[in-house]
Amino acid sequence: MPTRYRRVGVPLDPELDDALRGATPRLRGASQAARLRELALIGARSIGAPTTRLREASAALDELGATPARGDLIAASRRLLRRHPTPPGRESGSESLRWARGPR
Amino acid sequence: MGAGPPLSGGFASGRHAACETSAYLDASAAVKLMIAEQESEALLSYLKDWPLRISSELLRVELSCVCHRQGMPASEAEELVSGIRLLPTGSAVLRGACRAFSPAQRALDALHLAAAEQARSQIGCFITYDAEQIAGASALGWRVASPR
Repeated sequence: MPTRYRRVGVPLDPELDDALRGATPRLRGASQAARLRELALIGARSIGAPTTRLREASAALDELGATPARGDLIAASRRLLRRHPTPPGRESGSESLRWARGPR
Repeated sequence: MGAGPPLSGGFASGRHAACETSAYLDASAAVKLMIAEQESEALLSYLKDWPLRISSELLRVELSCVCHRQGMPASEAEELVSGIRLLPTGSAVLRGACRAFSPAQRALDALHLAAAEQARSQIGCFITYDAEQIAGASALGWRVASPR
């Protein structure tokens, strides 16, 4: 098919051939080249998707007035857990929370 | 491979997609990230799949109370909540918490649920270890997790 865009040559090696055959029933493209283009776009969008989702969710939380996260929760927790192991016989954090919240 | 639904482009759009990144933690979960307990490691591992962590401003108060009870400086609570996006406990949340969530729901539980409900479209999972809160959140249709 004629095009004004630069073409990219892709060898149809066995791995790509298998992948294309497997995905063909779920693709709309009429030709092998069209299906390959469709797959490339799906792949590229999938890689970018988590960042997009995160940005959308963050923006919505900003609108609700949520505080920004100023640090890495996992790293902070690891530091805290190293500093605060629960020794046997001592009140756990959950027990202290139950105390703070009062009896049911 | 069988013929499934047409591939959509690899990602959903809009609110449903955004919520796949965010988890709400109530105090029963967050406290396990501050003072080691049996479930701490499982919870940390679970959170890796939820890069955006959300709670209510109430969490800061509850964890500070735990620090005082444990003889720890309140700055320890601050260190933890600095990694969590805290929703304000404004009038909308306070009004929402007046809703009868479940007969066993306490005020703080109701406030957490109301805060999460306010950001519902952004939250994919409600993490709690409290039996009543699990029941309350489940009744509201939340995907609830208590990683062990």
